[in-house]
Amino acid sequence: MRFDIHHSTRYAYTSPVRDSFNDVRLQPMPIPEQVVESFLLKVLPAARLTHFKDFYSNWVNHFEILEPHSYLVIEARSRVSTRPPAPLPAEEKLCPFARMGEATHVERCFDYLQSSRFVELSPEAWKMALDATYGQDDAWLAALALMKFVHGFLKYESNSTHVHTHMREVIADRRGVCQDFAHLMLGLCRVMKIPARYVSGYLATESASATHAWVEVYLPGHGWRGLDPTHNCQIGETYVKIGNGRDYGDVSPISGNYRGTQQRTMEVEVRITPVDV
Amino acid sequence: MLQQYQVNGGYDEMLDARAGVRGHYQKFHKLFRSVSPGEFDAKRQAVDTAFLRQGITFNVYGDAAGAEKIFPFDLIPRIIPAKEWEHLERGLQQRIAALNLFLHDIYHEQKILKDGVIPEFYVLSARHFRREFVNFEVPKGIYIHICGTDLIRDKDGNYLVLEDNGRCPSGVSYVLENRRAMKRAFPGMFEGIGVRPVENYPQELLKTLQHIAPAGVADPTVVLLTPGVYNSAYFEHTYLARHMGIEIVEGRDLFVRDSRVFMRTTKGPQPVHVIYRRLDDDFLDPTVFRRDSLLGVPGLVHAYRAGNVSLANSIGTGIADDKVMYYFVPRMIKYYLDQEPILPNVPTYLASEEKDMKYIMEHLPELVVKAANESGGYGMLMGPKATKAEIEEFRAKIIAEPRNYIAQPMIFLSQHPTFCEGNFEGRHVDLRPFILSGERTTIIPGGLTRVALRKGSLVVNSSQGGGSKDTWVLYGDD
Amino acid sequence: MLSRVANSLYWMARYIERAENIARIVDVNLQLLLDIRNLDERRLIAYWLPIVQATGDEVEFFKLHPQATGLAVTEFLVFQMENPNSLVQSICQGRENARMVRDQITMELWEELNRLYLFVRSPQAREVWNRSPSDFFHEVKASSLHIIGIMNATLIHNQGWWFVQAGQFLERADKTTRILDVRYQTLPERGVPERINSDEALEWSAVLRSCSAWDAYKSIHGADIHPRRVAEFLLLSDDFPRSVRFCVNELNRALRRISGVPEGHFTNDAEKLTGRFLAELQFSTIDEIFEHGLHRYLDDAQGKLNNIGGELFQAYIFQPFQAANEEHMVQQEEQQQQPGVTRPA
Repeated sequence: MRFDIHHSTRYAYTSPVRDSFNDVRLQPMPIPEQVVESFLLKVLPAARLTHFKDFYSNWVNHFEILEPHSYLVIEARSRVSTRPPAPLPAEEKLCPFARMGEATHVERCFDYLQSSRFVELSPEAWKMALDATYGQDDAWLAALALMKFVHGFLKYESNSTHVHTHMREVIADRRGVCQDFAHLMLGLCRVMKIPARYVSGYLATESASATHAWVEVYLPGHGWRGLDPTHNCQIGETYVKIGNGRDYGDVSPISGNYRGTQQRTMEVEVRITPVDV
Repeated sequence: MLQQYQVNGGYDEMLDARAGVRGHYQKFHKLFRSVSPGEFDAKRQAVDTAFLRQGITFNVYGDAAGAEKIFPFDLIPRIIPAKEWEHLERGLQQRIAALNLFLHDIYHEQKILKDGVIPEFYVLSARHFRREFVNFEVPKGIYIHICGTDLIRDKDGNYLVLEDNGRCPSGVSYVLENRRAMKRAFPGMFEGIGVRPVENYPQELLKTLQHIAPAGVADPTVVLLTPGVYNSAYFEHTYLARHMGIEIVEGRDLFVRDSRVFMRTTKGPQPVHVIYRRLDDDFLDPTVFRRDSLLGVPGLVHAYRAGNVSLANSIGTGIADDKVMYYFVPRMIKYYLDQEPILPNVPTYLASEEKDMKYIMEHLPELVVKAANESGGYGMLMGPKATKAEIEEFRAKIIAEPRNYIAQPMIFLSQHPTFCEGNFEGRHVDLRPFILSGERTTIIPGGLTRVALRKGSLVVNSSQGGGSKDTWVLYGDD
Repeated sequence: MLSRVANSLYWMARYIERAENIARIVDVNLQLLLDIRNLDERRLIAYWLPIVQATGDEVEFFKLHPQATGLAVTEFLVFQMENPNSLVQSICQGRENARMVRDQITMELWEELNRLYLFVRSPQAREVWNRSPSDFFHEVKASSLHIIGIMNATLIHNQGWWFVQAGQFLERADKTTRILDVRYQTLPERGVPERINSDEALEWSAVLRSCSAWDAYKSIHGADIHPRRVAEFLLLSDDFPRSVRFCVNELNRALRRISGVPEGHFTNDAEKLTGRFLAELQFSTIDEIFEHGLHRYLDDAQGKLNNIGGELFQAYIFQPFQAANEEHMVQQEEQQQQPGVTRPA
């Protein structure tokens, strides 16, 4: 499918701030599963944009605004064609756990098997994962089981968590948004030694209002496969990927610093429109 | 006065147990004989007063008064003959070449990991492996511009590398000041003996810094970035800046605009091209590393990435300081240079390796255990000198976090006659040469000889009761 | 040179000069008290209050002390740490600024300043004070002169030194106007009084002594004290080192050495304002000033000096320059991720 994505973020400060340095991760990743036909980033007040690729191959746009300003608008427009691979059969054993050792030779897998800022490989997570994958000797089926488990274990509730909620709080409260669903699934996959990475992107639905988060697991012989614990399904053509990392901390759409007041408001608008092919 | 000096076990720098005073100490020994105890005392006092007045001090972390202390200086120099020094020079040059190649590799293709020479686990789990820095291009491909490699000698007099310090090695200001003090105390000796000079270090350092300036800048502005007056090495920062004739700045004196670095001067913003930073990576840039750092410059990493400013040492060199990576340096030398290491490591056991861990657990009371990323002699266990309780405490730490510990047999460091409370007694010493990597690799002759002033102590760090000596590298062999 | 360093040197000089001036004002006026006959409570208050007012801290004073007694005033002006302009506080601030740029000043300067700091904060200082306030002030004045001497003799006369000069003379000019203003209530609002009585003469001689100007004044005018002559001497004398004209002239010179701009031109507002003020002082007569009203004139002068200080900051220091603690670096709000609520079939 083909989409026009318009993503706009507006910050308003109660008094002018300055020396603002920001990294923006909103550019969809050019991968075989999607074609990024165009991407345009606009910033107001006007600022020069530079870009680089970070350690996880995400495109990062960087800008600075040194002069005092009372608002900041970041607008990203992209046109993307998705061509996801066919979903893998949900009942078949595709990758025995015994093969998972091969994953250690894949680039960057090490990071996707460790605890990270928002994900903890705790004894609690381990127990939870073992229970959820009881009797499984196949990594693919285990991953699906974990996805299903997270989907059932957590209640989706907007505004129940905040941007820095840690996985262990999510376990305790049993609710969150897609970011939290993804973090929990990461923890459970990783304790089972299934390399799992956090993915930030868009889910093209009628009421999309922000970015979406899901998980990719690595299976030797099949590569990285996207799983969405919020919806308990494999990634399909309505998913557009921006970037990946160990957890939210590596892919936050906008992160930066400025000097000035803490009083600020933020408004986000996301519009995803299907385009005729 | 040195007549009563006796060797007490191990290798002594000055005296060979059977043959008497070693060849390269003969001239000094003879000249020193003519110094009376009263004269010697007077010289010692003069040197101490001079150091105090000039403020050649350091701040001791954790000291309640936050006091500044004089770094104790012992007047008897440590002497190295030319042949020995040339051997050390070759070994150090080889080592820094390998380290720089290693750093370039792991921050780019990571071939050494892909070829399985070093398990990927150790690099990726290293606290100072900076993921943000991967694929960065650094000027001239040099990562470590200033390195302080600590050398020791074992019982048989063989030189071993104890550790590499590739982040902000300090101590060179003491080297320079010690030499000045010695010249004042023993003016006649230098001519007679033929000692290689060290005074040109600031010029060499400046040349190294200028060498890495961003391309196309004719007359690069070099500054020294310091955390400020409270840092334990602040004296050295101001000393070096002054002797190089460059500005010493703190983070708040700099700002980044349009990916370029400027300093705030009375004539308005002045561009800065090279920063000799004495600040750890973590505090360099609050927009990339620690967000709460007030010592850094927002946007600095970005300016570095854009190639508009150069940093010495580069970001991410901390992984070379990692004591676990130290274990692999001989492998790096073989892999990148296809050579055998000229200067060997101290035998080391990695707690993460099953076989080594077993050995460590069984022999803990005999071993020296170090935390991978501590310095200054902290986070260390001296098995043979520790209490049972301390040993058990460390055992638990190692089991909890094996990645972060290495163990080594306790080396009986070489000793050197040192003036202690009225007599000359043997005290353990080490050596820290300073290696500059610019257009060429330049090593200051000698370096800082640190001496553990407490009787029997093997810990030479200033913060834990250490002192220093002047180090003489001779032009000849005697 | 670094703005931060220039700023610290400038303020180090100002605070040291400030401390010395306070020492002089209080010392002289304490001694004067011994000379005045007929000292009742009302007169005492009338005596001390102007001194507090002259230092500009009247509000602060009354927050801490209900009455303007001699004891309260001296405590406030000399020792009180809550008074940011007290003598001891000024020395602390001066030393703090010096410490920030310790590697830019000589060891002798640091040692003497540190010694003074340790002294005024020690119990010995109180003992000396209780025994004889005059001895205490003597110690402070001697040390401060020593410090100035060291600055002149050992600091390289580079840009940093000119910032020190600028700070010193700006502060001195300001303090001279304030000392002169202490007795303004005994003057008519405009014009010069014909004659003054002996008590008033004593008070005006105290004004001179507060500026260490007594001997110099005597050498020109003899023992004939009159406010018109005193004001003329302290405002317009071109060769007495504490007169406002002399100080502004030195300030002007320092500013020009900092920027390198020749006489008759200016490159920033600090130079412009200083040049103007200097010209005014050079071409005014004391009668014109009294016609205008001495108190009003002195008030204006303080305003002008204040502006010059502000412009100096703008020209060389501010850019925008932040003290480390002034505002926090705040992390930009990161966007939390939310999916659409409807789930795909």
